[in-house]
Amino acid sequence: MAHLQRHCLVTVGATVGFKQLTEQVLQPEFWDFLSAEGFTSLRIQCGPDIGWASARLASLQDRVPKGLEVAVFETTKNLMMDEMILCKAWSGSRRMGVVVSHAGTGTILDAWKVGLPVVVVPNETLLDNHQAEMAKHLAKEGYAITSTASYLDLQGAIHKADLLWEDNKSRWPPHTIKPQKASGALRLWEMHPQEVEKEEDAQMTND
Amino acid sequence: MDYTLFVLGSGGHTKEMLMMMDDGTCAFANTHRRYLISSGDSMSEHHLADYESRLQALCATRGTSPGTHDKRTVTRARRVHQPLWSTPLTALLSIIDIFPALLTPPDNEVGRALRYPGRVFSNGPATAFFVALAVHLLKMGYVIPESCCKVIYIESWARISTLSLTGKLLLYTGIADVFVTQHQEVATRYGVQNAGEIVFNSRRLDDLEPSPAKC
Repeated sequence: MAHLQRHCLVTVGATVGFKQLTEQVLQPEFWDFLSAEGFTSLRIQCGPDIGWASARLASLQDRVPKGLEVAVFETTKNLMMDEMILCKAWSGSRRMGVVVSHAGTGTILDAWKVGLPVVVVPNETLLDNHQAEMAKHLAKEGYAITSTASYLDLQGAIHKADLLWEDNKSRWPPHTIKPQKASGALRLWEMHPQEVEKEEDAQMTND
Repeated sequence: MDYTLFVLGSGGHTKEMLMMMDDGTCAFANTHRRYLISSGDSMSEHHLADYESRLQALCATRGTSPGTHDKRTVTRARRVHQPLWSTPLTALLSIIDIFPALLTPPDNEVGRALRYPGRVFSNGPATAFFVALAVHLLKMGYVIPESCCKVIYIESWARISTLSLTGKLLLYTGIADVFVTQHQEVATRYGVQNAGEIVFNSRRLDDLEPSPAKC
């Protein structure tokens, strides 16, 4: 059997960047870890940090392990279809990869939609701590693993994300039409003023 | 027959709205969807085109009708980082565009029969509030009947513990007919209904036929 590709995508959002995270995933030690885990590609979307990130990558080119490709890019028009799709297993050519992301909701929703293991790294330096709150929620619901922006933590988190993925697969068979039917959320198309009121009444009698 | 208006707020909000819509529902015979998009929001345009083409594909495999749709562009009520003081000005421009979008029926059978949308779905940001306000004003002036244009506001999935500014405005003015959040914590804090994580009703890539995954 041919050697399977395995992709790791790191994404920090388009506008503000996330220097600490970009720095850590540009550590040769992190690359060695990925290589040992069978990853063949690390792609880092680093937004405004692209300048120094590409310079650092160029200066460390001889430290990139054999069999691993490391690339940095600023942003892409459609992160989901252009990049995330590469992290998805594809019979005969790719193993399931992983997405490492700041806790931006757009990225999280995209990764969920594609069906990928996710490691979220909240950007603690942002003023409002919405990202930390989101990260906590994702971890609690079992949608993602959280990590700090340190490559050692990231390595542990990538291991855990693999395990969580296997676990979720057995809980939510990936090929059902309604993977989250059990979540019990209302359906948009069925929301009418009267029916929502009825729903409320029903809930009240349940309480 | 059914005619529904969707306010597509901005990249992130639009993504959520379309995920909530893309729940596998595909029986849309005699229904019309109208989308309100803010000027210059190419991201929403792109996501919308994506949604509609996935819906067409689903309907084709199921042998159902996707119904009809059109879109209207309105001036954006408030750009990100725009100073709050200047918001009333752009909001005024925005609301001027919103009236014809609400009042001009779709140019098809559904539009001729129904004239006005039955439901107006929105999930933020600011434009959502101004659409709700426009509906309210039109009803106050007896321009449109009370029974149409029911405003259904779904707070963004990103809001776990507090409401967005738009959410607060709609809650305190009481001009939304339905107001729900997607997390229990924020629902409890403001005493509103939690509808659950509606975004996760969305189909996933594996559910799509044919699979768009490339080698």
